[in-house]
Amino acid sequence: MNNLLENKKFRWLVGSSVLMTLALLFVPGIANAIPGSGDFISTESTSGRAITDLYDELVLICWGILILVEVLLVVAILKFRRTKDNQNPVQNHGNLVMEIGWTLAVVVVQIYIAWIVLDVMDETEIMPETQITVEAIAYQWGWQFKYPEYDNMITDDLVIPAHKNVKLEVTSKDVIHSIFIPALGVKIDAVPGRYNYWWFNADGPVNQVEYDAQKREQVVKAPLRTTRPEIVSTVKNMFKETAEKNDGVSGLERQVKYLPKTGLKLGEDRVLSTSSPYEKYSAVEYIGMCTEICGAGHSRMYFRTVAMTETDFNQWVFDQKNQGGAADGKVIYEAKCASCHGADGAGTPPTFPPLIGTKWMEKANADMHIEVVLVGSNATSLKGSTNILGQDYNGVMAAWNDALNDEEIAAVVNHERTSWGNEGGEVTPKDVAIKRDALGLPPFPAGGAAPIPDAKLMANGRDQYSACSSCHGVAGVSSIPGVPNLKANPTVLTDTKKVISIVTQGLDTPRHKGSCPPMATSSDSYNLSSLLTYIRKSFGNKRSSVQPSEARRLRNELEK
Amino acid sequence: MTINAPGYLSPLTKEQSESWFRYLMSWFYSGDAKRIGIMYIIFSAFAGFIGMALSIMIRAELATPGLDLMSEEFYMTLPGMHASAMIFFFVIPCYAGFANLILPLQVGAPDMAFPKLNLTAFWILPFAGILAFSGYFLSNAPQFGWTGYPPLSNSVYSPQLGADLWLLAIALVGTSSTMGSVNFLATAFNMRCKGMKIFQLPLFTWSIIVMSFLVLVSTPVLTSAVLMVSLERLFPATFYFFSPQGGGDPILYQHLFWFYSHPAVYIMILPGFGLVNEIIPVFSRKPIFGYKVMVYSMLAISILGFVVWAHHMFTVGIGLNARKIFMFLTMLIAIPTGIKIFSWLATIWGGSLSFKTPFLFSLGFIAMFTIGGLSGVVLAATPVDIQLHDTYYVVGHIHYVLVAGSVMTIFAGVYYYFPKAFGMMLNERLGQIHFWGTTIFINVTFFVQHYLGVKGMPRRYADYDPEFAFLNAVSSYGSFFLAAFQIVFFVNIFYSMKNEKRVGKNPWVDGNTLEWTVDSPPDHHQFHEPPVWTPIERHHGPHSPSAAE
Repeated sequence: MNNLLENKKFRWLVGSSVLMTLALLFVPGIANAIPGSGDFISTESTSGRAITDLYDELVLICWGILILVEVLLVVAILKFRRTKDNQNPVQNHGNLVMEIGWTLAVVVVQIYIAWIVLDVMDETEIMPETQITVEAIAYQWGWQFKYPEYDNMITDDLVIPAHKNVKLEVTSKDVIHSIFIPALGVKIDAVPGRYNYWWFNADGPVNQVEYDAQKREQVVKAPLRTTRPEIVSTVKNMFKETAEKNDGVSGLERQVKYLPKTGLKLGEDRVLSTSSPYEKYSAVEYIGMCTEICGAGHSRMYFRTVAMTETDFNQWVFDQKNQGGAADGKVIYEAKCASCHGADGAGTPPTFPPLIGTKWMEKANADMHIEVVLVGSNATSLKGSTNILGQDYNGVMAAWNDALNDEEIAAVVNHERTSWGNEGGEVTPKDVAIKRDALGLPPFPAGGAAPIPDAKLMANGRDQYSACSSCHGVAGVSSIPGVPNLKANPTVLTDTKKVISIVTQGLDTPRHKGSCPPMATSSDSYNLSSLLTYIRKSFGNKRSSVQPSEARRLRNELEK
Repeated sequence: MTINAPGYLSPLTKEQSESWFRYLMSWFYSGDAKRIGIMYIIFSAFAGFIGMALSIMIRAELATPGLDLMSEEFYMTLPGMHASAMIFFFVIPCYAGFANLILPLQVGAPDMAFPKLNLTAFWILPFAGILAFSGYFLSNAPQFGWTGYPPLSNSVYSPQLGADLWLLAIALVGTSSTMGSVNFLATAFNMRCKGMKIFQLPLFTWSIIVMSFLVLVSTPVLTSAVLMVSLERLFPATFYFFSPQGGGDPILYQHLFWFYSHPAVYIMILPGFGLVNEIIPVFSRKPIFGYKVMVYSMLAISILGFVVWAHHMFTVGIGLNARKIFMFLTMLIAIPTGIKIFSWLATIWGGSLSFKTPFLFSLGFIAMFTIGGLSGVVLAATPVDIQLHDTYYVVGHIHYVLVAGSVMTIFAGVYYYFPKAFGMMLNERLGQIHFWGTTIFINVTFFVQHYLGVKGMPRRYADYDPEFAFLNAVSSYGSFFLAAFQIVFFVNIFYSMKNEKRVGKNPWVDGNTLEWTVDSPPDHHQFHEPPVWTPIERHHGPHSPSAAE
């Protein structure tokens, strides 16, 4: 034994073997421990998750085979080194049984892999019903996105509604490019002279009950795996501190996130020193780029992929169409008002009053006019008496504050005040904004409403909650048997749509018969969203706020 | 002054022995396959050095995000020229050099079948190399990568003169390797010695035969594709092979290109398999496990290599069913490759292993090539491939195949055959340092590139999202050390040349193919008497008990 340790060759051998093992396993091991590395990142779309699961499974198989080969190799190196006793090994030229054995083993593994891959191919590539089509046109060096269903509108960024099957039709104006959105699992070449297509269904800001339910099922069926062993994630978390500690957020409901404001180069002249142009929408941005070499600007062909809630997408389309030229009051009047008030402003007595020569059209009463358009029949000037120019009217006017923005309201108001012989003078969008604020309405400037700050929603929500606190308790803990706590309530935490259905339609199931009356039936979107925000963010609940647009959308879905 | 050298290195005439100029000219005009082989290897080492310098420039630029060292236009020339240097002027000629040096010896022939053709094939290469790289000195080098997809590579989008010259150079390289393979096939089939039947050929010779078939069948396709691009470039608005404006199709070029370039991957690795097949039995003192299965798996790889080209094109818009078929065929390649890996392990198993440098490089090759093979299995899965296509995952994969595969086997071959070629050993200690440095830093450089790809970093990017900064830095510093350790190799050659350690016919003791029965270095026409081959079944080497009887 002593002899062996003094043997120079043997020491070389042991050292070499150890170093070799280190070289082979340690270096990849370090790389594996880097936070975030090794995770396949197509996790933000339905097909992306299928691909990620497939990748994870393949990598597990491959790690298994790799470890088998390396272990055999290292064992052979250690076991069969040349020593005094091992000079003349047994000679053999092969073994047919073994050869057939490992051939069959490889065949079986490959057939298994092919089997699972074919499944995923069908799942990710055969497109379900198209819900929106976008043409992506590449050029040196940038992208254009064309919306054939929206009057061939053209944009620089790919803006799509979330949870819709988006069909991308991809082509190029010059050389071959390739569209790549890693997070969504999108990649297809843009070839001049032909159209390729790819489809995806992006997550976007998750707030949709159906989707949540579907996702929960998926989690049970095929949990997202990571290729790293547990010990690595433990080490990783040590470095990560508490920044990304999972505080029970399921990942289904996320804060709206945007691409970083600085540092990320989105093309040479689009360095993001300012903020994202999509901050005012409820949206999630994914980075997109070109992956086929296309000349010097290849590494500058970034674009944003913006997945919006459906209402925000419609708002965005509207903003796109109305950007540049000012809002046309006549067009808006004819689309929104003429059906009741008549194209000539004469009204339809005795239901809808005329707009000619009334007191709202007088110079001094511009404020009053704006208020009627903003809140409809709830305007103070319409309370009590509805006798206008000697005639009583019984119609109900809709509130337009969350359908038209300041500029549009100013335009339509101006149209009314200066047409048909009215001489009321003009108002500005700023007047509308001031009136909104005075009425306690959320701001809605042209180009879309900025998200309402959480503090404002919380303050209003506290007032709204006073109607609920008698049963559910001021602190969200109920003292009445059978009335659920709102603190850590799973429905409150995960199912916004269900909560809206309870507060607007009441809870009337066999189990909870008539237990919760419809408290918020007459609330507008702003109050409703404040209430939801309050119960989602109070009593120790830590969830995102709910913007009025989102509350309105969910409510509309319920009432459909 | 007289030039003294043993064997085929010796001057043939008195004039040559007195003048260095004449001696060098006798090399340049030589029809001796061994001299041509050495020239091939020296040329490829030079090209490899240029390719390495280009790769260092790439990695230096990518070490930090942002454009730090060069313009985007210059950066765009680098990936393509690095790849051309390494593929067309380093790996392929280097194997051709080994084949020239060893194949005639192994089959017991005095020389190659067509010495002049052989010399012509070699001399095309340096000129092709000058043409390919002259772009850097004339106007500008091509900026379209080694794939050269039109329309990017046509005269509208790449007006550089360098691009025309590069295309011409690729056609010339194709001509050169076609000439070479004709020669190898003629030699291996017609000039075998007594007793050597086709299934008695040493496995390195077999690998060159298979490689030559691949070259013969696939190279004309590349040449035609390259000439079509050249015609489009030289006669604008006349030819529209690949331009949709005139009814052409850019995808046609990709089919032609990959019909060559997928087999080219096997052209670049099969001779490496052959070298490892020679080295492992010698240092394990055991014959290769399953000789016939090894041959059949090489043949299977070469045939399958022709029917999988479209897996490089999964994202160009090929139909779903076609991609399913190509994916299935691609996965089949894992079967013969797996057989080879397991057969090598079985050869080592139960042997008497002597860890000399060539063997270390072979073992390192097996250990790391497996990684390249397995990442190939991941890439074969179409949905995953579409996500990873043109990202750094592919870069990591191809470098595990070509660096951990081809380059490791080339080094194994150089350390193994250096004593035979020059009659002296390379220093063992320096060789081991070279091996460990190379092995460790190949992993540092290329393993993290898999992660970059998985996280979505596209390849051929001059500038990247700062999110990828850390892994890129790891890869860059790894590549600097990897390059630095190659200096050890050159130091080793000069050191060993200086401290001549003369060797006999069979310096590795257990070599039992015909090249180990002649002097080191061999004479001009190697065999003094016509050699006779003992069938492989009885081939147990001088160490075996049966041989001792």
